[in-house]
Amino acid sequence: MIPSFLAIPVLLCAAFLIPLAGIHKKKWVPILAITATLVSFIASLMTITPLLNSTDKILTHQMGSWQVPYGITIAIDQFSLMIITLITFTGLLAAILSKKYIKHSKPEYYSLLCLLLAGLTGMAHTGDLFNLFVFLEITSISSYALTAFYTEKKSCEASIKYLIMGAFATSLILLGIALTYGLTGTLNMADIAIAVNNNPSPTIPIIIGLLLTGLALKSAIVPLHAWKPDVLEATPIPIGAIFASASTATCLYAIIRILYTIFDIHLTTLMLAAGTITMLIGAILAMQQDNILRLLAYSAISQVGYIMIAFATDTTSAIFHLFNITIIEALLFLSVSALLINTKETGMTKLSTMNLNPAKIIPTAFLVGALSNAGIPLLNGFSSKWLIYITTLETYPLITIAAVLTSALTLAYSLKAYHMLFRSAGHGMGKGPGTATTKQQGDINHNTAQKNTGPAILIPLITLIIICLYFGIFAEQGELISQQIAESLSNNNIYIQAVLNK
Amino acid sequence: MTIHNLDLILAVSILLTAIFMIAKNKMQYRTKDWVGGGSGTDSTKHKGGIYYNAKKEEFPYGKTKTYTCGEDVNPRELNTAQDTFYNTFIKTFKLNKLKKLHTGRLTDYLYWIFASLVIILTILVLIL
Amino acid sequence: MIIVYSLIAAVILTALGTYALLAKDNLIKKIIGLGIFTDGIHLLLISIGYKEEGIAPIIRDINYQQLGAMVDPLPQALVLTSIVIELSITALALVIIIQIHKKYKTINSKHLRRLKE
Repeated sequence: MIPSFLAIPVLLCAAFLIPLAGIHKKKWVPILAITATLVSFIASLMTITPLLNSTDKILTHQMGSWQVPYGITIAIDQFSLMIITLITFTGLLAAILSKKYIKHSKPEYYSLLCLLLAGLTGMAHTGDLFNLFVFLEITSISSYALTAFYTEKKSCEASIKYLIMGAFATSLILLGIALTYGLTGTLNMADIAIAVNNNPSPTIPIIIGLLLTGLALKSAIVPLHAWKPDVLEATPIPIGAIFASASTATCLYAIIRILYTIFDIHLTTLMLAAGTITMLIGAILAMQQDNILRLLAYSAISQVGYIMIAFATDTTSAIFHLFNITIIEALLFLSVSALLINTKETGMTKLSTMNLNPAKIIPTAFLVGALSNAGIPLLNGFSSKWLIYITTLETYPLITIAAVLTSALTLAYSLKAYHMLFRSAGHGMGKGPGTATTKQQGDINHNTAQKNTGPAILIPLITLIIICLYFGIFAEQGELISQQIAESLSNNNIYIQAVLNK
Repeated sequence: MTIHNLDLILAVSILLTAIFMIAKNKMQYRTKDWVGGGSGTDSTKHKGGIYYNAKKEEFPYGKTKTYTCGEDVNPRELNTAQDTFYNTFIKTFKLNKLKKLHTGRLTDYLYWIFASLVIILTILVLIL
Repeated sequence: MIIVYSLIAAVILTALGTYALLAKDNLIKKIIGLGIFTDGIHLLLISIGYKEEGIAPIIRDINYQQLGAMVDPLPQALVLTSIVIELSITALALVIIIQIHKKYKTINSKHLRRLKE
């Protein structure tokens, strides 16, 4: 019995009930969405003890009571459970903050949000390759629709670009799955692992190449990253938080599941090359951006590069860094969305002249997120980055130089963003010359502006700040947990035995 | 919390003076609607430059005027443009060429996907 | 022997689909190219399940000699799912293209350059 599987039907029912509720009363719509995401988060937390008490620490279930290789398996091990808790947690926080951010409580927004979270959760639960493809498509189609949510010029353009690139990539994944079925005759992940192990074939590198290219586009590794800044600029900002945190983490989980559990191949040179290029190009391009959302998007791209080089050397630091990146990106995007509640303007030169008057929590949250991104001690980014530096220094010292250089560039653009958003001459952050004492053209109409305080903003930001500080100060806890997860990933026989002998 | 309250009173008083000046100068405002999207701010016609002539600003301590390159400048005009940050670093290593490589055309992005697919396939076939 | 023909046809369809996706600038032609590309992959999937002298996989009464000669039904189910997915992507793409035509007055993807760098 897997309690966290309850999240998928609950989220799907909510996605279909929210437009009905929106017809009757607009007030029920955000409450229904927040309830659904809260139920899924609690369900995923309730799975922790059954998972740690079970034998081999893997929970499996067969859909429809079919025999093992013939039906759809749901197999959760520790890595899956970490990803599921991250998805439902960021979904809950984004739904809470959307209550304040989205005016007039649109039912389409919340319905698509619940569909997106259902697709991501399904991807993390499944033990069947084609089921992964189907849930990936559910996620993708909801994200294409959410990118075009505002029906402005730039939203439609970003959405059509993302749609064509994403559809091409998922078709490549389908081609890989077709060749896998032709090679092995089964779609169950454990069964494919056994068949691939017993008869190696020259088709396997082609299958891995196709699957990797498709999933690398969804998780934005460098030559295939071009959609991400456009999409994160055009989409509503809480959805951008889910794209940057949960969607990236789930697609990286899918890559690791395919490489480590199914095919049992550890690609070092390819991951190192892709990782360094991603890190450097992401940081270099982020330094030249004017738009705050594009800057955060390139920052997210560059941090994924760290995870790639960490997977080439030591899996513990990679999993810890994946966890930290999800929390940090969610914190950054949610704080920016709390800042920009009243305007549509996202260019930093324009924003530095406007008097946004943020509540005091918002610059704190942005500063914690930005410094954690750069790797300042006492925050969680430093703990995982330190582990990455230590493990890569033994084997590949040049990669460590590139990683430290990227860290310096990250600090550079984070301080630039913080200065232009919160410390420029336009903002009333204190007394003295340069305080906002005059009202200017293009400022917010203070008669209709919402105050950016309140529980809808305080709860997400404060919980994320507390998690950042906790994993920064007590870094050993995070390292121990990720070490357990890395050990369970290193040997795929445990997974195969647990699924096939059910 | 007292500083926050003083900020509130200051903001409300400035708002009232601004409304008075608006009524006096007969300005046109446009509230931005969230649905259907606005496309940024327009500049409305206004005599006397882009800054209001507000009432005399009271700074409780410190400098009262900003001195830049031989003249006193309004502090609201001192916002740095984003191009000037790290300008020398970017220009010496020609990193703005990398930014210009992202042309914005969809066909170029699709060529990147296809090229990386070919490169990954050749590398994997040669390694494994 | 017949399987080789359908595999060659699948490869030709996939290649034509990628050509249309990469070389054409009109957005509608790109969507058509995407459809052809996906259809080539579907043809590949179906022809993987083919058996020589096969019959349709429908059980009328349990006849154990006939079970071995049935064509594999699993890829057909996968292709049905994938056709539905491709249908919804095409529908969504066409709706977005209608909106783009209203806002930009053009469907040429070379002219959609508001978001760049």
